[in-house]
Amino acid sequence: MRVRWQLGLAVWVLAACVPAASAQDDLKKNLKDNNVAEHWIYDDIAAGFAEARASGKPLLITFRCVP
Amino acid sequence: MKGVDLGLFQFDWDQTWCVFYLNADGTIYGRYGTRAGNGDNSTTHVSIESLRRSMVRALELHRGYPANKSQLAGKRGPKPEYAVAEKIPNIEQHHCIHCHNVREATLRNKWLDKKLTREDIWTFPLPENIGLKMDVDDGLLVKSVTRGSPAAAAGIRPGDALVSLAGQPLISQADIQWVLHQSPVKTTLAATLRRGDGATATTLSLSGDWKQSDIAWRGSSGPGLRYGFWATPLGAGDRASRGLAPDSFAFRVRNLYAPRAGKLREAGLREGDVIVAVDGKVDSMTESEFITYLRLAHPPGDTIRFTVLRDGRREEIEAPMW
Repeated sequence: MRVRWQLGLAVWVLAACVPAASAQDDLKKNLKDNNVAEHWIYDDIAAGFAEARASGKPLLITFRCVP
Repeated sequence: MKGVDLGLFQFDWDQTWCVFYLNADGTIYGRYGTRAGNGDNSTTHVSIESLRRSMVRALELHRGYPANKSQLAGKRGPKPEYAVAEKIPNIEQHHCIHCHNVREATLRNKWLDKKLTREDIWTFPLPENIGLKMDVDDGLLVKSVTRGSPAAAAGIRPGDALVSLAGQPLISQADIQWVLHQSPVKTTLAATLRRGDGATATTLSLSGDWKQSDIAWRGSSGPGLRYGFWATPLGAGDRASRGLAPDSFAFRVRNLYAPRAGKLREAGLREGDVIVAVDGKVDSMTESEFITYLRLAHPPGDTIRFTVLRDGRREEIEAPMW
């Protein structure tokens, strides 16, 4: 419940390593990231910062190893 | 890591997963994610509960911003030599630049430039390095203090909660590591603690080998230090069967990956050899100490001498550094 409450208070960015849109699609497919929750901005740090600036919310950015 | 701003995002590159909390202006509230090894040891310092608590603490810092901005300045690292990973010479680039590629290329380049130091190798010390075992579900609550450690000397007790270190507000064990990583070997660190309902302040005095830790598990130690030479400590049974003392130097050569370690193969070293001395040194070393010794004792262009056991006979092999 507490985590669900926090979701609305932060901008969530899931970062890997390939910024281009087409590469994002390949990355999602390769990692089977087909059901990424809507609150995540997928692999686009700049978009996360833009939303944080617009909303006044802090950012939570995760980096994960892509096998 | 392609395109990621290395001036902003600096962390323990050998993790498989980590978190940054930031303000939209780039101010870092904190980090989450601590790794101490492979297998079972890869998750000894993380939990869902401590992640949740780090979120709560980050939100508290966000609510206090910008009044607390000066306290957070130290959470940003120094300007890196290269702004993005793809600019680092010799970095591996395939479909992805992995986080550990950043560190391994940095280590390799420093060695090639004859600038590699012990301080480059011992990275992101754990709280245990200064005598603090933290509660894994809290991250900042002290579970135990090692007798005779810097933490004990500073008067820190089990049950205390670390609030700040070197003036930086803390949200996780990763934040403790960040301060330790940035600190020189000989230093003093101001710490504030919550003890019961009150607060107390103390100073940690650090010197000596407190930064030294296990680096054998780190992905970056492969290309960064081993560079194709993979040798692991010989087990007790194998030592005994070869008549080697339990505390003697003994490493089995597991792999000599080509082309990186090709020079070693050309010099006569083989997979399966048991190295019983390096440069005549026979005293026991950990795997971390061995791979550190290789690079710190021998610059590029140097030669190294292995004494190996092969088919029951001793052989001397002199090899160029690779």
